[in-house]
Formats: sequence, C-alpha cells, structure tokens
Amino acid sequence: MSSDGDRRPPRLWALLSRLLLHGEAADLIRQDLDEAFARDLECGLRPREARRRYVRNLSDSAWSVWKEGLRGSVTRGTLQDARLGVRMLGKQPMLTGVAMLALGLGIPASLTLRHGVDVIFSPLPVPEGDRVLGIRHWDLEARQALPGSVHDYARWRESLTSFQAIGAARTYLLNVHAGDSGAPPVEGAEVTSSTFSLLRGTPLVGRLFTEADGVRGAPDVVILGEDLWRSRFAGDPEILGETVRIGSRPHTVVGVMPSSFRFPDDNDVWLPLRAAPTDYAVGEGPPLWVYGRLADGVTEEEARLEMEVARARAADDDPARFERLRGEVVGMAMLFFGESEFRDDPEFVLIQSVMMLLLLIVCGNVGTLLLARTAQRTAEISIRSALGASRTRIIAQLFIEALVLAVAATGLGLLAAEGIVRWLERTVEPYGIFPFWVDPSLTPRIILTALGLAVLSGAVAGVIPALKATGGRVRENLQHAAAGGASIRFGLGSSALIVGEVILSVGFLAMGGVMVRSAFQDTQGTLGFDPERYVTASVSLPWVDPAEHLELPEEDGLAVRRRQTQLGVLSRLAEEEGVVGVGMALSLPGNEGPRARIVLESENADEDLSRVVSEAEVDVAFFGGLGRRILAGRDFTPADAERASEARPVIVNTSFVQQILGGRNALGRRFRYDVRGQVDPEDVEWFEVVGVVGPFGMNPMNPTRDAGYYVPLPPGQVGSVRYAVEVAGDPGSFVSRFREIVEEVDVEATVLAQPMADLMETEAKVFRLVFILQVVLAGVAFLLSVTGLYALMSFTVSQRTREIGIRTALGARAWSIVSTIARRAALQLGVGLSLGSVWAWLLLGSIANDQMVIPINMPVTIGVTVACAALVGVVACASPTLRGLRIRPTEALREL
Amino acid sequence: MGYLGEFEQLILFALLQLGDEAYGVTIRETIEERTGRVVSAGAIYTALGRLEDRGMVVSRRESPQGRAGRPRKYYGLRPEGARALKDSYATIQSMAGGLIPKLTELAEG
Repeated sequence: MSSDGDRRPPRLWALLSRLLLHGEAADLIRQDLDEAFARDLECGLRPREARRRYVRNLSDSAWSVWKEGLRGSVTRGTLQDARLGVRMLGKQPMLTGVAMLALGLGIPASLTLRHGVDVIFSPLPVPEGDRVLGIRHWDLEARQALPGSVHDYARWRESLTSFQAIGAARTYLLNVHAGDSGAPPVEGAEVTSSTFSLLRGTPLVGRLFTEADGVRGAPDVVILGEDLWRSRFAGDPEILGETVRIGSRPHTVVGVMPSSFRFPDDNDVWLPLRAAPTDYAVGEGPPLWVYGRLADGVTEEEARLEMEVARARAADDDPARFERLRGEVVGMAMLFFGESEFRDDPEFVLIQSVMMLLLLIVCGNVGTLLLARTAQRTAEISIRSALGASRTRIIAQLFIEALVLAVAATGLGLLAAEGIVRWLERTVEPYGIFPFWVDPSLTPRIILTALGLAVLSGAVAGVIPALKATGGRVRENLQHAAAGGASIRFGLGSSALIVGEVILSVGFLAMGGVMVRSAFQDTQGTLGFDPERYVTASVSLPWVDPAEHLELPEEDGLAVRRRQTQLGVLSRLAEEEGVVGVGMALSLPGNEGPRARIVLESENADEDLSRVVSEAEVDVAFFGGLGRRILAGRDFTPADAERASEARPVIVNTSFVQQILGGRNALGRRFRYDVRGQVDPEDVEWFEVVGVVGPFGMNPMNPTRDAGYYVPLPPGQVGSVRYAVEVAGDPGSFVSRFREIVEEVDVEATVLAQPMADLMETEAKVFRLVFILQVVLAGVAFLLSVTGLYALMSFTVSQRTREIGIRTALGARAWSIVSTIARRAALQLGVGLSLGSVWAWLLLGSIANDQMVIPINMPVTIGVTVACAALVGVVACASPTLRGLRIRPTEALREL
Repeated sequence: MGYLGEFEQLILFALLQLGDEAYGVTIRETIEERTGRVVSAGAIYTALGRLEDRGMVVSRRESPQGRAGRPRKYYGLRPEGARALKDSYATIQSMAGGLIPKLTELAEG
C-alpha cells in the first residue's frame, strides 16, 4: 500500500522546478507536470515510475525553456543588444576608455608568449614541413645542444631508417662579387644535395645540386637566391653557366632558387657541402645542422626512439663521447636555436598561467567597472523585468554589451599588436635574429584565440555583474530606483580587488618610474665619447675548411691567417685619410658587451661580494689607437696578449674604481670570475689591474652603471672582430670605403659596417620599447584601481543620499559626512598603499643591482610613488565626496 | 507560407484533433499516443509560444469545465496556422506522391 507522500510529486524536484523553470510559461509547465503526475497515478502507474516520469518531464522541460530563451536572445535581441552595447560605449567615454585599454592590452598581452612560441616553432614553409625535423645530440651534463659533425651526419645517414632523406648544412657570410665593389656580404650556406630534395625545393631556373657536386675536387658551382639574382645580377636570364667570384674563387652558376626558399636560416647563396668524414679526426670538422624528412608512416616518436637507440649503440663503441649524450629528434626551430623542449617545462607553464591570471585580474577590474555601470541602471533593469523581460534576457543583454566592449577592445589591441610586431620586425631585421620561416604577424589561430578570450572576458566581466544586478527582487529594486539609489552593493570581492590593485600598482609604478628614468636618461656627455663620430664594423673570416677556399700558411694556418687579416685591416685603416683613430676589440664602446660576475681578492669568501661588471676584450693598441688617455698605471703592451704572467693584466675604468673599489687605489688589485659553487676557485685565473681609463661607453644604455674592465685580446684568436673607427667627416659616407679597405686586405673577409650612432639608436629603441610596455601596463593597473575607488565612492554617495541629507539637517559637521562617505575607500587606499610599499620595496630590491637600471634611492622612490598614488586616489575620491557634501536636506526629503 | 518544423506540425495536428480540449497535458498525451515519442511539457509550451507569436495559434485561459482547480491555458488553431499546416502537409504529400512503395521497399531492404 502506498502512503500519501508517495502520491505527491517528489518534493525536492518540485522545489527545484522553481529554480529551473522561469519565464511566462513556467507556471503552466509546473501545473502540467503536476497534472501529468496525477494522471499517471490514475492510470495505475506505480508511484515510483510516475515520479521517474515527473523528473524526466521536468528536466526535459527545463532544457527546452533554456534553449528557447537562448534562441530568443540570439534571434530577437542580439542585434538590438549589440546596438545598445555600441551606444553604451559612447555614453560613458571614461569608463569605456579604461575598460577598453585594460582588455585591449590584457588580451593580446596574455597571448604574447604563446604567439611567440607558435611563430618561432612553426614548421618550415615547405610541403609537409612538419615532417622535416632536426637530428642532434643533447649534452645531459652541460645541458646544451651539440652541433652535429660530419661523422655524426655520415653515421645517421647510414643507420637511421626513420628518415627517407637526411641532409646537413652550415652557414656563414660570403662575399659575392658581381662587379659592384663595396657591396655588403651575403648570407651563404653549404648544403648537401639531399637538402633540396627533402625540402621539396624546385629551382626557378637551372638545376639543383647533385651528389657529384658534393665530391671534393668537383668543379665549383653555386646556386643563387632569387632576391640576390634580381638585385645584384639584374635578373640576368643568361645567368646559368656564368662565372661568379665568391671570395677569391670563381663559381659557375647552376641554378636560381625562388625567393620563398631561404633555407636554412635566411640564405641567398648555396654552395655544395663537401666536408667528408675522412678529412677530419672523429668529432672534428665544421659544425653542422643535420635534419631529415620522416619516412612515410613513421611518427616523430618512433624516429626519436630510433635516434636514442642509435646513440646507445654508438656509446657501446665510444662510451667517453656518447655516454653523457642523448639522441634527439626535434623541431627545426629547436635545432637552430639550440633549445631544449621547454614547452612542457613547469617554468613555462607557470609563466603562461601567470599571464592568464593577469588577464583574469583585468577581467575582474572591467567587471567591477561594468558592475558600477550596471548599478546605475538598476532602475532600467527593474522596469524591464517588471515589463516581462526574463532574467536570461537581461543577462544576455548585459553580456552582449560587455562582449561588444571586449571584442572592440580586442580588435583594437590586435591591430596595435600587429603594428608593434611589424615595427619590431623592421627594427631587429638588421640583426638577422630570426630564420626565414619566422613570420611574426598575427596568425588566424591567434586572432581566433584572442576573440575566444574576448568572449570569455565578456562572460566574466558581463555576466557576473549581470547576475548580481538581476539577483534581487524586482519590487525592491524598483523602490530603490524610485528613491534614486542603487540596490547593488560592493561586496568583499570588489573591495579585495581594489586593495589588491592598489598594492600591485604601487609596486609597478615604482618600478615603472625607475625604468622610465633609466631608459630615457640623457646619456649625452656621460658616455665618454661622441658616437656620432664613429663607424663600427664586424669583420669575419669564415670557419674554413683547410682543404678548401683559403690558402693558409703551413704552421697553425688558420690563426695566422686571421691574425694577418685582422692586423692588416687595422693598419690600413690607421693609414687612411680622414681616419682620426681606430681600435679593434670583441665588443666596442657603445655596444652591449658581455657582463661578468667577479669577486675581489682578499674579501671574505663567505660574504656575497660578487659584483656584475662589463667586460671587453680589446687589442693591445686599442686605447692608443683611439687616443684614449691612460689616467693611472700603464697601457697594454704586446706582451700582455701572450698570457705570460701569472695574472692576466686588465685595465679598469673610473666607474670600476668608484663603484667596485670604493675610490681606492686600483693598481695591483686582483679579482677573478665568481664561480663559487661551480668549479674550484683555485682553477680560475686572476686578473690584475695595471691601468685606469676614463668612461668609454661600456654600458651605453645606462652610463651610471658602466663599471667594467678591459682584457687584452690576442689577434687571430677568434674569427670575427669589431673595429671602431673615429672619422673626421660623416661616418655614413665612410661605410662603403671601410668595405673596400677590408676587401683590399683580404678578399675572403666579410664586413658588416654601419655608423655607431645608428647601431646604438636601434639597440636603444628595442630597450625603450620593452620598458615603455612595462610602464604602460603599470599605468593601466593603477588607472583601474583608481577607477575602482571612484566607482566605490560614487555608489557610497548615491546609496547614502538620504542618510547624509538627514544628518546634515540634524547639524552634522562636514568632517563627519566626509568620514561617512570616504571611510571605506580611505581604508582600502590606506591598506593598499601600505602593503604596496612593501611590495615595491621587494620589487625594487630585485632590480636594484641590474646593470640597466640607474642607482635607486629606495626610500625616496617609494615615498614619491606612494605620495603620487595617494594623491591620485584622493583626487578620484574628491568628486563624489564633494557631491555628498552638497546634498541638502530637502533633496533627501524628496526621496522619502 | 510560414515554415513549420516537424514538431510544430505535430502540435498543430494535435490542436486540430483535440478541438476545445487542447491544453498542455492533452496535447502532450496526443503526440505521445500517436507518435510514440516522449515529449516534455517545456518543449510543448515553448513551441506553442513560438506559434502564438507567429499568429498561428490562439490561447485562452479558463477553468476546466465542471471542475474546480487552477485555470488552464487552452489553445486553438487560427486560420493562419491551419493554412500553414495544410501547405506543409501538401508539400510533403506532393513530394511523397507515388514514392511510398519504393520507400517501403528500400527501407525493408
């Protein structure tokens, strides 16, 4: 027998139906559900079955109603809502501007890293480019990629069956002579004949390399790139079979590749790679990039496995060399950049997560702003509710308004991002940083992701305030609206957000201020020289194959040849008319040189006294050649480059004496690299100060921290050196003469020359851009927190109009009224500023010793920042407070 | 001619069938009995709402005859709805003309 309880619809579901069903049909549906349940029982269905049917009917009904609501919003209201959303943008320009700035910066910024990785690690732009992969060894101890050798290439080609073809290449600058003396060098590559076929490259004219071209002793042949062919050879249709001199040797042109083919880096000339394992001892020979195209049906993972097996087999024969290595098959980008697979690294994932968290904070901010706007529209929303608009409909409307804002902001942000990307591309182009397949412009994928995030941001920033605004009862809201007040309250979440933002913005503002001062300091006069008078150039001899290209002296051939070239260029420049001075070095004044962490002798080894300073390796005649006076001690002598003495002699600059030695006598002081914890310090050689020179552009971006030292550079030790040439006339017009001089000395040597001021300006631009972006982000965070405070204050006033009026009527003093209005905002501002100064202290501490940052006076910097932030906060609060003070008792009475 | 979805056609046929007795529960039962499809009250009311907006059905609220209880919302077919249903059905019929034996043969395989 069933009880009465069994004959009623399930109580919990009946209650739930009030939540699940809404709109005008809700009552009718509930009525029908009850009736259908009763009828089921009348028909003799068991109560349990009837209840089951009730629940199913209810859930299906709820789904139908929600679907209908959504469809109604989309088909009937979306356009109207979007139009309203656009109108709302113009109605409150201040709020729109801030929210758009925040979203426009926040969304593209959160995608920057992902886009950068996508772009750099995109597959080669050749047919099935994702199946062309790099092959290499990874040194597990040194944690770095090892370049392939000719022996590796030969072994992999023999043993790896996962690849249908394997190729190898090496690149260097080449002088291509087309009868136009003084032309800049060209990016050249030596490649195996398999390279073109595995990349599915087809020539525009002529043929590709064959196996026979790669045999030592075969006729010298060359393939030109289309751009080079057009610019330097006027697109000569008869170029095939012509002889072109490359370096000192004539080469026959056999083909022209289309401009879309610039493999492996950004190359315009290809020569056959003729290095053979028999020419070199194991592990020696030119460093190579080795790559292959996967065989049909073979996966990347299978190839990786085979590569590791091949490495393990090689380790059986030669454990000393292969034990600490790992065989790897990697994307081409990782091959060229020498990176490890970092995309799954916890650090990378963390950075990604932090960026997404920042976007969430931005959304929270915009949400607060929209909540403020929504609160002002309580009356409108309540009236629409009363006229029959469903909650879904109102939420959809507010969501679409937020969506319009977010999509517009994202669109503008993406346009700006594209502009910045293009500018950056132009700026870094001269440095040849990126290989040819890197196209940093925005991809459809990133645009779609950004728009997806815009929708998500619209949902977070629009729907949450909408839920809050529509959560109350219509009648209450209407009463509030009639009384001129807002029924929405700022909850704890909004307060925490405002406090958090004040904290963040104080820190970012302090850091931003320091960065701006560092990036835009006037370096004129503090560099120690006038860059406008100098030409700078890097002169290189390619890594030469002893059996090819160059005629080398018998003994220690390559080093002697380099020495001859480097010193030859130096003396020819010194003799040149119009040249005031010339110096040779690895890093020049005005260039960002290497930095070294050093520790001074006789300091307590337990204390952390290591300092970061600039280091420059210079020719022994550097200071004399450029007319720099030695202020104390002596100049370098040729013997200093021989490394004969126990300690290496160094010359320090006056900043080193002041900042590192505290102004004490520098001569005879010793220091060495700080390698504590890495190797035995006893194995590290000492540097001994033998002389002091004045400032000479060791840290051009920030001459306030240019402490550094100079080490003698033995000529011929490295293949590429730089020259600084001070000229009497215009440095720009000396650039081509510089190239001619080098060509006269050594026809193989390549020159990259430009006025020093141009080079410094380009470096400064990038440096400043990074700083400006950080400062803009800090500014936006601050602006948002200020706007949050303003919104909070405005609502406090509108909510308490009646109370303030009555208290004024009862004779309350102005101070008491101000306290009523501003108490909460002041508390938030106070807490935010206090905690913010701690955060600023930590942030500034982390960059205090950075070489790019000016010396920081912590208390003053933080004090000024907090004062500025407080002032802006007070200004934001001033207008609502004054409005509150102006409320008259009669106004309040009208609202009763 | 207004386009009618399959479910909307079923509802209009149910209204035609039920005459003055057409309200949520009876419409649902009629469709379930005749088609074997289980439909929810929510689906019925949202479709009826759409048809009413399009002027194809008309509704009235009244208490069930001879019984106490909450008033029900009864629905009736308007001429526009009848025309649309007739046109839709005629379209199907003209498309299906002479094809049923072939269809049966294909379906049975």
